[in-house]
Amino acid sequence: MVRKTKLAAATLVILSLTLAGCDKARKAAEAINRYAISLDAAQKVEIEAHKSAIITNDEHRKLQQSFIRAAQAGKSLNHGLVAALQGGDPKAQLDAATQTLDALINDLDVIHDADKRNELKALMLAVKAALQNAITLIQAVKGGSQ
Amino acid sequence: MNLADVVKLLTFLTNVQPIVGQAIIALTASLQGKSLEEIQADSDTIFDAVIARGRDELMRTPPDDAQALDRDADGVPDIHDPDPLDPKVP
Repeated sequence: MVRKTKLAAATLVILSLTLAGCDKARKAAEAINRYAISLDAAQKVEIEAHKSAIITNDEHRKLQQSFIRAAQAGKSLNHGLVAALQGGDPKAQLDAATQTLDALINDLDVIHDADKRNELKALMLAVKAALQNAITLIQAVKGGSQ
Repeated sequence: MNLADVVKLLTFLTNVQPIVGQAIIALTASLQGKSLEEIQADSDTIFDAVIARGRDELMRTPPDDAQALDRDADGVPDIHDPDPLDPKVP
């Protein structure tokens, strides 16, 4: 009887840890998804501004290159999440995502139209917040797996 | 705990944990509509769309100076010149 109780308790502990890890991973994956959606939306706003000739071709080209780099690094966040789930260190992926988004935000300074520049900078603050939330949750997965 | 206990524990966990785990995961998935893997795949799809759209924009957008560049001095900007490598151009 005592042995069965111990087995049940051990099972409960393992189940709780597993489910807590799953829950954290889900939240982190959802946060990465929100970051992807916000980056996608910001890119569409920039493209519309270029179509309206508010943003020049050179400005548009530079910004699109930065969007591509930010999205490529964004994809690696999922790899970071998997690494965190397996007890690895996602730092490289998290740093790459942060650096490429910061570079994109800095590149907004090339926009000659002050109103559009400020509008996009405000929008990118929301994108940055989404990324920071994803990073915090991925780090929590890593912390939980240790 | 001896080896027999370890075997019993592993057998118990193998039989019970996946059932409970799968049920809760299924419940969570039904609440959210998507599994962890599906959420990750969805994010990848969105990031891929950003990359593809960016590349498409780069392809279709010439640099500003290309609008006026006329290296062969034929009075027509280079971007409107027929492509000499295009077999359809005589």
